[in-house]
Amino acid sequence: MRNLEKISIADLARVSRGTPAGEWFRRYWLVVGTVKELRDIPVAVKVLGEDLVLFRDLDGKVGLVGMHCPHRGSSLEYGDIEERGIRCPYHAWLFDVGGNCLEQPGEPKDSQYYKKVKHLSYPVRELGGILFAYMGPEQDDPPPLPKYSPLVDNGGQKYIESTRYYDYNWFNFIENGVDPVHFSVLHRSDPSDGTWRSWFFNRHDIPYFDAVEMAYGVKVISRKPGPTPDTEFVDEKSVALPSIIQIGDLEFTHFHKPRSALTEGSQIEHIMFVTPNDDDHFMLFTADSYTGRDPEFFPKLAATRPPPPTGEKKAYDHRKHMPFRGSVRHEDIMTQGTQGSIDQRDEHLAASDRGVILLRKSILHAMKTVQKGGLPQGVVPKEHADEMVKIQSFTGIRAKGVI
Amino acid sequence: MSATHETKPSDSDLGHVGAGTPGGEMFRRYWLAISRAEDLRDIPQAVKVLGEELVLFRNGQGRLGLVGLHCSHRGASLEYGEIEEKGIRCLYHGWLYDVDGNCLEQPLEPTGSTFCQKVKHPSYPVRELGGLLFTYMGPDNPPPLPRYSALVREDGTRLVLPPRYWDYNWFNFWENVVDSLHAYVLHTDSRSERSWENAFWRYRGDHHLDAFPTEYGLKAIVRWPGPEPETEYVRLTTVALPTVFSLGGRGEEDAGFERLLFVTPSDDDNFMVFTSDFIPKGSEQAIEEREKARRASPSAVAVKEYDKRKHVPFKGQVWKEDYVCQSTQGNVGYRREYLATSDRAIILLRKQLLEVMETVQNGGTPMGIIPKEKENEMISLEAYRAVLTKSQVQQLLNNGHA
Repeated sequence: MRNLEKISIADLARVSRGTPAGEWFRRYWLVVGTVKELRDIPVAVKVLGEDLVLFRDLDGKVGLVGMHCPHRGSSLEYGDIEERGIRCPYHAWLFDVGGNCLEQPGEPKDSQYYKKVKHLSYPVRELGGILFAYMGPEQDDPPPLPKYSPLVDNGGQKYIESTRYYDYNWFNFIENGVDPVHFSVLHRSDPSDGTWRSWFFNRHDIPYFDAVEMAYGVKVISRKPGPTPDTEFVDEKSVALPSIIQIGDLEFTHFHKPRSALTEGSQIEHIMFVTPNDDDHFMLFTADSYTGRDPEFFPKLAATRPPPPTGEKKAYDHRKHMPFRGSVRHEDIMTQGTQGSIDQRDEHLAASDRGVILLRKSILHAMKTVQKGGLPQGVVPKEHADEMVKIQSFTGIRAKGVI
Repeated sequence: MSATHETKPSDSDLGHVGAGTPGGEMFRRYWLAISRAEDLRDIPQAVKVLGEELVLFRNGQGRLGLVGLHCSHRGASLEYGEIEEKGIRCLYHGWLYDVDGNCLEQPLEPTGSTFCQKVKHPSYPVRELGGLLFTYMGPDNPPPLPRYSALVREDGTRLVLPPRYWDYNWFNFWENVVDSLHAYVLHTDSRSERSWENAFWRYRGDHHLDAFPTEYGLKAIVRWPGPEPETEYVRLTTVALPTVFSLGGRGEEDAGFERLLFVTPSDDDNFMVFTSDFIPKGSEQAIEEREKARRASPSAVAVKEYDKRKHVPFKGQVWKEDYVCQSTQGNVGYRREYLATSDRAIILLRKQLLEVMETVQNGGTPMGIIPKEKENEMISLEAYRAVLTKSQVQQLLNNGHA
């Protein structure tokens, strides 16, 4: 482990075991899969630089174990799933979800060798269709799995999106979550199209935002005057530690409406969990919770998203990310994917980066807390295990001045 | 790393074959199979051996040459050179090399220039035996080319199969050949109709695996209770160093059938496998039927639409089952392992190869080199599957110890 004073924000980019950020990440429950995508075959998944295999045994228990069989290394991604665990295709060693070796058919009768083999394994828990793993110390007594509000049954409609995979450093995606002004520039649209988005995120009239330190991380609130003197239009979103973004709209469902339509707010929690595969790749797991009045909100939505880029591409334009205009996803990938990771780029942070600066400060502090053996921000203390974790997000009109 | 370094070779050295590495120097003491004779036609054939880029050709007089791929002049590839009576000519400036790497002509040099005589292009001797081409890339005089029975017997038909090329470390394939038990796990689906293989599952835990050193390498014997009280099923395979593997016929009905595998590393991440079958007169039909069963395409396995795993489908196809396991292991010496009793033969194989590396480091003659006085002897690498009586088994084991 490195000296405390040597730790810096640049360390965020590296997530393998033994690095400051790698050890920090290993104090949280991290999303490693979704229930709907984990079928009856093993799924190879790389998490924080470790090659692992996720599977559900025929008893229904979910396991996350080392990808390479501890015998002679063949991949358990091709193993057979059985009642009690997963069996290596090469010599049929059988492992349960706890990494215990249960059988070694090639060994002599009465051999006890299987008891000596402990395969790498991490506990997995399920909440609201999302699978979380804990890769930190004290595996037998991990911290409580946070009850993130969009994952908890609230009588509303739920939707788990398909997992997305990205090939750049995880932090570029996360810090973008507390950078509300980029919305008015990168994701700009025709200011006269009559939608809430074009009016609110007008690049010639960029809304002021506040960056606020929260118990879970950082919140940014952008505002414009409301229809009445005591109200305002608000777009509020948060980053929660270690790597969660929550916003109050999804793929412009509400941003596309006229601004008068948002008197009740969007009634949406769009929570995005980022899990680094390694220093250059991450996965994005997204869960949506809707509590509005439309009885078929998600079925209607599915057909229209995500919108493809609408920008034109000239015949001689061979730039990698073209076209990207017109698709928020593509626009974000173009900018975040070209920044370089935080430990590589030259930066000039500006006043509009105050959300980013606050977030970096919080994470740096959390990494130092882990180095000192403490419980970092965002890990739920045991005595609060049953409390719901409410990450704040909002899009619409509400009373003026709410922080 | 130099060839003379003093560090004792260890597992991680098994994966490296470049010149100057312990593994590379070991391989450079043996004759290695590099091509099937019938595949070498009238055009040059690029072949990478032990990390060296080479080109194989037969000159107009029928002599075999294996020379550096890159022309000694300014490096253009001789794979595109022209084959002539006396050798191979670079397409770029017309330099001509004979099969021994001597430069015979440099047409653009002034008349009277003798620069030609100063250029020695890398070259290695090549010999043909039983339809295979072998090279020796080591120092001094090459040892005798081993006359394995499957390559020299005349009492039947020889069949050299098309070479196979793989993209992972040679040793993962190599140690698998003495891992007799994996066949009864990994290849079960593809052979489930055969009660012979199923015997393993019936007698699970009652099997024995033994491995013994032989004059040229080792033999691995796996056995379990036979169909009659005083009998045992026996599967015997033999390895000759560095990378010759004999897996024979299936007992008496195929008596005399031999299959030899020759493994040659192209580099640390790629290797070639050459296979030669010998089918004795009178056994053709039995062998053809067996091979038909072996080649039979797997029962169509429906791939689930959500199954995006890279190597799926693989079940029911022996080579692909092997590929899935061997290509995902990672390299020996770098991977985390728990070796078990069933790895007894693998442990012996690793030990022998590491000893050979050490012998080579110390300037000695490694195991598996044929002594000059046995130059003309035929070498038989015993391999079979059979039901033996317990006393026959005892004899076999005693010989193994001897």
